[in-house]
Amino acid sequence: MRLESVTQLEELRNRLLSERDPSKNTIFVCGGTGCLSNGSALVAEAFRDEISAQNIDASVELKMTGCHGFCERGPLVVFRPQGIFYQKVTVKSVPEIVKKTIIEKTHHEQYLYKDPNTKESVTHEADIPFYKHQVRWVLGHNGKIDPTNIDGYILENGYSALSKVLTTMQPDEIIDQIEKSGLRGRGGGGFLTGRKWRTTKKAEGEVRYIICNGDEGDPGAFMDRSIMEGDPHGVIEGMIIGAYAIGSSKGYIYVRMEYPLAVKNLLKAIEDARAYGLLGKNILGTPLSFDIEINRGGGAFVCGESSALMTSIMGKAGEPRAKYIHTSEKGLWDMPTNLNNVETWANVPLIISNGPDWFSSVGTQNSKGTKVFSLVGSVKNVGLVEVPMGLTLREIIFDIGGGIIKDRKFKAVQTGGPSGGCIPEQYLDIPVDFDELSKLGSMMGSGGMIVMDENTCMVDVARYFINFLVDESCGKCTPCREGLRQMLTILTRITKGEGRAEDIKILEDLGDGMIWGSLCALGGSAPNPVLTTIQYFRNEYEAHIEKKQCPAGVCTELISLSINPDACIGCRRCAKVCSVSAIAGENKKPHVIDQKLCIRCRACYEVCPVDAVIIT
Amino acid sequence: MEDSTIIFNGTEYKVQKGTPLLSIARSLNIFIPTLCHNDALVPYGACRMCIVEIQKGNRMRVVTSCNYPAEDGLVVKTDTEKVISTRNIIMELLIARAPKNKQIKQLGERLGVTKTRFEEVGDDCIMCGMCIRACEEVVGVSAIGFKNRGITRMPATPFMETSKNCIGCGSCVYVCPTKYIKMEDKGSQRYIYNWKVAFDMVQCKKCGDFIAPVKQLDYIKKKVSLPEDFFEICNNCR
Repeated sequence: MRLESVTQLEELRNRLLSERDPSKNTIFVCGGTGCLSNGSALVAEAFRDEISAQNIDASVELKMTGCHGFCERGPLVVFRPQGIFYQKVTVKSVPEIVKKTIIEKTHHEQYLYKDPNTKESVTHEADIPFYKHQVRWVLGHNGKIDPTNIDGYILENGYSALSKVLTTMQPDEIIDQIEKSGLRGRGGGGFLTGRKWRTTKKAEGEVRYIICNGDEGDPGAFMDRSIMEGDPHGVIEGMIIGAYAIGSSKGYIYVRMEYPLAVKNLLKAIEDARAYGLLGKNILGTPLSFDIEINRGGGAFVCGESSALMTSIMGKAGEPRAKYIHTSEKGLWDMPTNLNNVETWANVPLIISNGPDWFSSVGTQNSKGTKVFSLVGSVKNVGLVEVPMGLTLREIIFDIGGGIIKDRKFKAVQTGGPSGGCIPEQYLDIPVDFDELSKLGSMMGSGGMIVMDENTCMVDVARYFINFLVDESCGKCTPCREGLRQMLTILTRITKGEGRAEDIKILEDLGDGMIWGSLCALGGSAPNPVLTTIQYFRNEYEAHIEKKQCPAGVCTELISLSINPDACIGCRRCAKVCSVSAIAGENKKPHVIDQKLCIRCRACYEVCPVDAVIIT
Repeated sequence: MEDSTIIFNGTEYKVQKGTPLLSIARSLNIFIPTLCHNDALVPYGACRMCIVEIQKGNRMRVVTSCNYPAEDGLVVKTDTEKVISTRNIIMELLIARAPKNKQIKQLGERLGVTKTRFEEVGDDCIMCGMCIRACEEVVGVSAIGFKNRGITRMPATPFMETSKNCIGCGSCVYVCPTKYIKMEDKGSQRYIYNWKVAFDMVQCKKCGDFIAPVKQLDYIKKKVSLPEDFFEICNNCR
């Protein structure tokens, strides 16, 4: 059914609203990639079967939604309107959960979230610390709507921002509002979105293109994926508004091939939007014509860089080009092009609906609104979080993240993806925004946040990220290609105990050369993990080089493992996990590690229940 | 074309807007080293040897002069501390990349960088892409391209097999700044070893010298209208 006018869209919304029964029980099963891999599709099927078996179809509805964010505890299931939150739900548990929650109107204790710090159960989603401290604007629809159903999005006020701009706003007014809101690009650059739109609009060209950058390549990052999977219409609506403001008729969404669910949900959303006349010729009966095409990226990290991404869309190998050419003036096929990140586009309908003042009321002086982070590594609560700009690292890691696993000591947090920097404990109280992170030698990037505990070797961490970048550099310019190669060589020899006295100085000089000499931001920011770890953890580098020691006990060439006979209880767990059979000992008697056989994989250390394995 | 006033190494000049800074430097006899630049090719900005420091308003940046266009009010410096330290690191990286290469060594000596603190890689190809760009932009054949990315990037024929498109013109060999591409004319045959190709040569009807590969002359015949026998006689006998 094609909607021929804004009025028809509003009529549809009203009809959908009138058909909705707010008292109806709805079971929201998380269908994000994390929960799906934990079996949430089977859990959803089990709920469906149980609803039929109990004959409660009329009063209970099931919805498979996008990512709820608390991925570590998946599969996640939320009952609304009660707001009861279940974690690690299994197929077997489904009948009991339905019985207790729907029929007995109580809850199933066993599957509630237990706070690892207080050991107490929490019944309601809103009371869980992981969610309590978040401000979920961009992720507002994730976990609440079925992303494959356009009506669900319309019911939640979807496409009302589009209605608003088409009926009451001129293109320039939209740009004014976006600029006034202070929205900055969420993909890493942090450029003012409104200003970028205005430059593109003013640039001369027969056509103007707009692009949504969904080529999220940072290891451990899944912000954009979750938004594309869970709220594809939010992104599309943002793009249509952008197209109207900028004067574009063609948009591209560049998604990496490794995100099949995001591609599937986006394709479905585009198809549904076209059927409703929200995409295509004369959108909602207005003169606006705009359509979107999806481009699947081959999985090159460098294609997240705007000019490399455009080269890739044009069918060539993704390589960045000289920076003096502005995308807003000469982008795709040399036409004015506006490129924004997924999260940036998803913010647009919210700003239009609620106004720029609402948006800028949250955040710091130069970073407004919220930011989505993927909080991973050694935190208790791993997942996707959205927080107001300016929250401190400590609040994110300890209040939302629940602190460090096994109550180990915090060591560093790496922000901004593989080429971000590692921030040590003394800066945990800085407010997280674009400028503060840059001051510390790190960056906002697209919002990766990797937390490291005391058992992390910072030299090894730097080596890990450089090893990633060595493969992901496009190889075009000398400083990035050859610089990364040499950086990896030096870091590898340091972690093997073969470091030389001059190595720290060489790394610093090389890092500086790469920052200033590289063609694009990949090479220019690649030294960050090395330079920040030297800056904040220099003693660890020195220990590796001078004393041939790895203080964190990580670098295999520099450590040895032994068992403290006084502590060992002879449980044999270490002997069972040892892949090279280096551990001998009788049941209930102290065990011994054969140093000649040991490959120092630390499996015994991790498994020992009484901490009898010692790393020296 | 409108004029721009720029300050180049402290002196004010009026130049045509959009002129690459490298061209301006050359017209002023200011030495800027390059390895991936050739006037016949579109500037590429890959070797990064030609970096200069520019100031626009309050913002200082280091950019490649081969492709950065002149604009009004631009302040350009070719010999600042930042330029020299960055370029020296790049030179050190290139010496490590091609430690035995004569051309790299000579350039290093000119810049005062004769040693490298980095581990030697030992490959004469510096990935300047001139061979590939000459083949595409000048010859119009595109017989070669880059394979892989990052440190495994290499100029290569498709699938590393004998190139079917190569016409044996040798443009890649002539533009290569490090003499990495090896070509040899042996009797009636021309070999370009890097692309695994061999060509039959056309012999001059007058002196008997070998002129060029048959395939190359066939390719040129299609592009220009010249008498058929034009290609049967060498330059010296013509």
